[in-house]
Amino acid sequence: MKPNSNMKPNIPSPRFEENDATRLIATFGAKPCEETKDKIQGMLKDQKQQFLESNREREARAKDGRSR
Amino acid sequence: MSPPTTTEPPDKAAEAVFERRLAAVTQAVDNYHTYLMEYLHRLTRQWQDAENLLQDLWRHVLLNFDEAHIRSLPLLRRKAYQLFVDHYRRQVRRGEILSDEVPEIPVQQDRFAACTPEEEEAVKRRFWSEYPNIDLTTQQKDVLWLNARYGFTYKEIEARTGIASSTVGDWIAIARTKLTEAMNNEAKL
Repeated sequence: MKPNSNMKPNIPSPRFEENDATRLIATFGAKPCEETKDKIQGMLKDQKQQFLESNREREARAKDGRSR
Repeated sequence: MSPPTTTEPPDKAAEAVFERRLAAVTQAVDNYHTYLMEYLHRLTRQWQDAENLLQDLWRHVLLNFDEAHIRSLPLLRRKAYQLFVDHYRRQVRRGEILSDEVPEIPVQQDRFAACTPEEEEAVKRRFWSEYPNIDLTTQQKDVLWLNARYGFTYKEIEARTGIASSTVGDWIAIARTKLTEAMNNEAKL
């Protein structure tokens, strides 16, 4: 089947409405509560091993590239 | 006999980089988490989805963002939008329907109570600097800010600024329209 040239990519159009603008002003600069901060902080700290492993792989690739 | 297991000594330099990045992301969370949560909720119309996407965003920022850009709100918003697009496509593939109902969650006014007038002024400047090309006067921005941020009525804004309430109403309508256009244009980029 030939692809339809009129087909648009499946990307949603922006859905912001005027009350969204108002809400974003109201929340701009507002600090998250301690519970939320702790939750995010815990999740981020859990990424340490993944970060270190990715870093080792990157360095190994770079070393491999240099040795060639 | 099994070979002895060798554990590599931890890479101190990489750990230091991680700690530095973590500190930068923690500051970005403090500054922008609430705002980005609202931003993503306005896109997804689902609090749970918005929360999940925001966690994905912070994880991505920590692991992949250029360190100099971790606290850049336009880039954070841009990435948040990309994550939303991926999420939307997944939903379409699964045949899930987005809810059009937006739950109204009242703004907690006490979130601003701790801010000094100078801090609030700085927040306002930072907000409008996000939209440098918006065609609004400072007064028009100010009346929208007073109405949207603190919930002042047109009459109350008239009492505070001396601008007639009918003009205040017109300016708020104009400012809301132009800000919405600016937000939608940004998302289309």
